[in-house]
Amino acid sequence: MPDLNLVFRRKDDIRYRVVGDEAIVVRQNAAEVLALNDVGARVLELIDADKTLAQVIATMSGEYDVRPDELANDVQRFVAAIRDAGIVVDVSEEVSEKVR
Amino acid sequence: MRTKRERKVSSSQSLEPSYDETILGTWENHHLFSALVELTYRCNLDCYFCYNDLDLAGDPLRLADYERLFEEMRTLGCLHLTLSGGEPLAHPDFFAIGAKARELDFVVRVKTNGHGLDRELAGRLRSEVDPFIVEVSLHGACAETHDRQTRVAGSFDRLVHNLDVMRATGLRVKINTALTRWNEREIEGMFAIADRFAVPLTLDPEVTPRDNGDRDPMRISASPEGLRHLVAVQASRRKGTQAEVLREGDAEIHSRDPDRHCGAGASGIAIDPYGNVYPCVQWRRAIGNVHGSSLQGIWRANGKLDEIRRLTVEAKGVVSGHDSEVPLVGFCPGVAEMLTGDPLAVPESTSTRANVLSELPLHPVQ
Ligand SMILES: C[S@@+](CC[C@H](N)C(=O)[O-])C[C@H]1O[C@@H](n2cnc3c(N)ncnc32)[C@H](O)[C@@H]1O
Ligand code: SF4
Repeated sequence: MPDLNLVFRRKDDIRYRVVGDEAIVVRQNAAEVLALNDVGARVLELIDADKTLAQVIATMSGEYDVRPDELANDVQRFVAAIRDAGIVVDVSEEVSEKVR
Repeated sequence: MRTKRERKVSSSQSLEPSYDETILGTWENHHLFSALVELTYRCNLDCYFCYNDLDLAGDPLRLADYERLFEEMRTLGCLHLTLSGGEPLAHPDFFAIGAKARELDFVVRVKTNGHGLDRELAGRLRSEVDPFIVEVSLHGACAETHDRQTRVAGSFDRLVHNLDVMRATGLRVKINTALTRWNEREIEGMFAIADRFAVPLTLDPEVTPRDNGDRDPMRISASPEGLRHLVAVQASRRKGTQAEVLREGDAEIHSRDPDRHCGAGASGIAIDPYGNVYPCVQWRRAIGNVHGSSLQGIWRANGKLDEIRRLTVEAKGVVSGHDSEVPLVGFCPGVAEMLTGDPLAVPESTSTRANVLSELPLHPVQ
C-alpha cells in the first residue's frame, strides 16, 4: 500500500468529470473509460502534485462519516488500484526516474 | 472502496468509448456532457457538398469568449468537446483555444480536413492541445475522386502524406467519410487507406442539406447500390451478417433510451462561430446566443430547449411506430425539420434509405 507521505498526480492523458454521483475517467492513450464511485471521484479531485496522501485523507475525514483508520486504509487501497490502472503516478518515482 | 466498473473500448475499429449507462443518465438528467463548437466557417478547401452556411453573419466569438465559454461548459460538467468548422485550424487563435480546452481537462476531438496538418502543425497539435482524437475527412480512394469533392488539386496527396505525419507525431487519428455517388465504388479502397495507416474509418451513409436549407449537396447522395455495397463491405469486414450491421446501426441510434430518440438538447449542444447555440450540429434551430447570455442560463431555463427535449421524446414514437419490416435507420429530427419543416415528419430521403436497407439479404457475407 502506498505510504501516506507520498505525493501523487493524475497522468497527463487522464481526463475526467463528475457526472451525478460518479466520476467518468477517460484514459486517452488506452481509449478507455472508467467509472469511479463518489468517494473515488473525490480522491481523484483532491489528488494533485502538491498534497501528500495524508493531506488528502485529512480533507476527506471531515467529509465522510467513517472511522479515520478505515478511511486511511480505503484511500490507500484505492490509490494503489488507480496507480496500477495507470490513472495516477507517484511524483517522487517520476523524479527518480528522470534522475536515472 | 473500489472502482465501480471498468470498461475497455469494445472494438478495435473504434476509439469511441462505449459507456451507454452514463450517456443515458446524462440524457435523463439533462446533464450537458458534450459540445461541438464550430470555430470558423473559413476553410482552405471548398467541398462541393459542404453543409456550412457561408452567408450566415454575426459577431464572431473571440479567444476571450471561448475561454469564458469553456469555463462555463466545465462548470456544467461537460466532458467532451469537439472543435469543428469550417476548418478549425483556420481560426487565427486555434492553438490558444485548443490549449484552453486541454487546460480545462476536456476530452477534445478535432474535426479537420487534414490539409494543413504538416509536421510542424501536427507537432503543435500534439503538444499544445493533446486531443483525444483527430478526425480527418477522406472523400475517395484516389486523387481524382477526393479532389473532385474538395475542389483543390493535390488535396488527396497532401492528406495521405499528412496522415503519415500525424501518425508519426503520435496523434490518435480516425478517418470520416460521407458516402456519396462519387465515392461509393471506392469503399474497399478507402478502407485500404485506413488499414495502411492503422486507423479506424467511419462511413456516414447520408449527405445532408446545407444549413441554410439548400438541397444541392443531396444531388450526390449515395445510390441504393452504393448503400447496399457499403453494408456488404462492413459486414464482410466484421465477418457478420448484413442484418447484424443494420441492427447495430439501429441500436446505436434509437434503442438505448426507452423514452428519447437522441441526446439533442438533453446532453449535447452545438455552437456556431457567431455564438448561436443549437441542440445539435444537425438541428439548426437556435436556442440562444452566448454573446448576450451565459451558457448556463441558456441550458437551465429555456422554453426553446424544453420544446426540443419534448420533440426528441415524440421522435422516439415516430421511429418505433414505423413499419416494423422497415426499421427507420438514421432518422434525425433536425434533418427532418430542415427538409420538411416538421421535425417529426419522415423525409423522403430517410424512408428511401430505410427501404433499401430493409431489402438486404440476411445471410452471412462471404
Ligand atoms: C463541415 S466539416 C468541418 C470539419 C472539417 N473541415 C472537415 O472537413 O472534416 C465536418 C464533416 O462534415 C462532412 N460534411 C460536410 N458537408 C456534408 C454534407 N452535406 N453531408 C454530409 N457530410 C458532410 C465533412 O466531410 C466532414 O467530415
Ligand atoms: S473541408 Fe470541411 S469545412 Fe471545408 S469545405 Fe470541406 S467539409 Fe466544408
